[in-house]
Amino acid sequence: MKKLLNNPERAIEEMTEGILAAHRDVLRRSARHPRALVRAERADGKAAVIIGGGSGHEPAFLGYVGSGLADGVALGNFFASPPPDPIVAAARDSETGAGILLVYGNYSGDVMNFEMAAELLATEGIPVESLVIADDVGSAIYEERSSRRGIAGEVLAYKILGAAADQGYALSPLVGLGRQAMENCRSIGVAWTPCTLPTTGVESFALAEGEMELGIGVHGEPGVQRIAMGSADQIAEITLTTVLDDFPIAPRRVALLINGLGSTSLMELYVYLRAVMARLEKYRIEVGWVRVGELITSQEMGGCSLTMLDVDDNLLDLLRAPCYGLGWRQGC
Amino acid sequence: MTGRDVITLLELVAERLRDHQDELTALDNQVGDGDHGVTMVQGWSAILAAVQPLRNQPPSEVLRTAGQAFLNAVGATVGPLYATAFLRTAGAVDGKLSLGADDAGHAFEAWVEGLHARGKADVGEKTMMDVWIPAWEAFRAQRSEDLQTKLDAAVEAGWEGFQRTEAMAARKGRASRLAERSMGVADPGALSAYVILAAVGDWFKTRPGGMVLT
Repeated sequence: MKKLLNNPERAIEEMTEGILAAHRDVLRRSARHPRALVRAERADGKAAVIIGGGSGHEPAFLGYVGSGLADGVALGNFFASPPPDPIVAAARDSETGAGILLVYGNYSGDVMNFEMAAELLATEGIPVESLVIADDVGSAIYEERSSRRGIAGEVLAYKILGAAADQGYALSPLVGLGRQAMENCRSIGVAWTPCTLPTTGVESFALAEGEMELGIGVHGEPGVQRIAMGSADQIAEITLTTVLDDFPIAPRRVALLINGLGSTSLMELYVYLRAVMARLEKYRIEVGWVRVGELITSQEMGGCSLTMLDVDDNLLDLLRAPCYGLGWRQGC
Repeated sequence: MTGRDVITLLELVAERLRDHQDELTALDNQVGDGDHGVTMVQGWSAILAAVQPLRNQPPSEVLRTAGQAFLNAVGATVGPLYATAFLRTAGAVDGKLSLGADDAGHAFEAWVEGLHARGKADVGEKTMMDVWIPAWEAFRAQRSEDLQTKLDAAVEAGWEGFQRTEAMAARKGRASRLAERSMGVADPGALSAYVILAAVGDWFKTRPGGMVLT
């Protein structure tokens, strides 16, 4: 394993110190817990959006705290949900009387820890709502979609909910907005080289030369099937078909997120995007918004994911709204 | 069995988990994200650090502190599960300065109930419960009043339960398409459960007077 680290056991703390040194205009550490980060300047009088998840997915999840984004984040160990304490700390630091919305991916660990955090906050009399993101069509069939994992669609949820909360959505309409948006969000991942967890030094999966995994999770979990590595056009065809087939009604206008998993070059991602967009044009599906980049990674995994969100004018406005986080800044 | 005894028991579990760390990682790499071995070892190390000052405290205090320490060190899936088990077990023996053989049954029952209440998994879903539930049932079903005999039955049933996970398809939190691919690989969470269970059985073997009131 070749990684630019010191002691892997200390990597998350050392990364956090580096991030705080570079981005003190955006983030500060909560005095309540070292693994809880919140906006440098607290936003008053609005519902607070609290996110979190395992470390090792940078810029997720701490990159999505800032103005126009989430208010606080809890950092877990490598690829592991944070415990309730840092979640509660981030929430209590950010809460200003308008309640808390917890947003997290659908993994059994995240669900249990965030539920425990929600119970703790509720006993303090703080209004709490939760939104569990389950956008990965590669992890369960349509009929069992509530058991799907959360992957890159989570990032779109943070952006939309962060913008809406800053614009004054109260807690209840905010959850409603998020729920409705995410019902129309689908993702699929594909990977051809594994990632290595710094703490284990073991590659997450082994693929034969010329093989790729369709439906890969953001932790290298197995997906739908192993198939022959294709060209960008072929991968665009199979991923787009998988996502589109999952919509009960084909969307007319979509937002697209092409996410690199860690070691896929921007050149490759744009070649892939081109192929996806050409096919959408053929199907007469309008692309109202598009973003290409590394938004939620799996260390140095080689691969990418395609996320498609069926959008209306309101969602497009929220996606285009200014925001300032270290993983996403636009218009300010 | 005093608080000090509970600490030595936790130390033995930690040692056994370290011995099995690579095996747990190898299994988890096939069905999960490969961190289960690291997580268990890290969590149990945090337990040992937290309980060291509690040698003169009642067992319930040691167990409660262990649960909090484990949860805060690991989070993840196992964090809330074992934390709940520790807290329930602490509640079952709350305040007693020393535990006898009768308390062992209550403690074991509370442990398994805590895991079940938090994770909502049952036998056959390819999880740690494939070890804990049969182990508890074998413990309870033993006619003998001898604690060691009951524990031996529990450890044997736990081992069989672990082995059965190999032929199972994962159902908890995963869907059918993925589940088929998990068949043929035993569950890492079931293995760590068995390692903990077997360590408990061995601890009592080395301390025949361990359950005598002191």
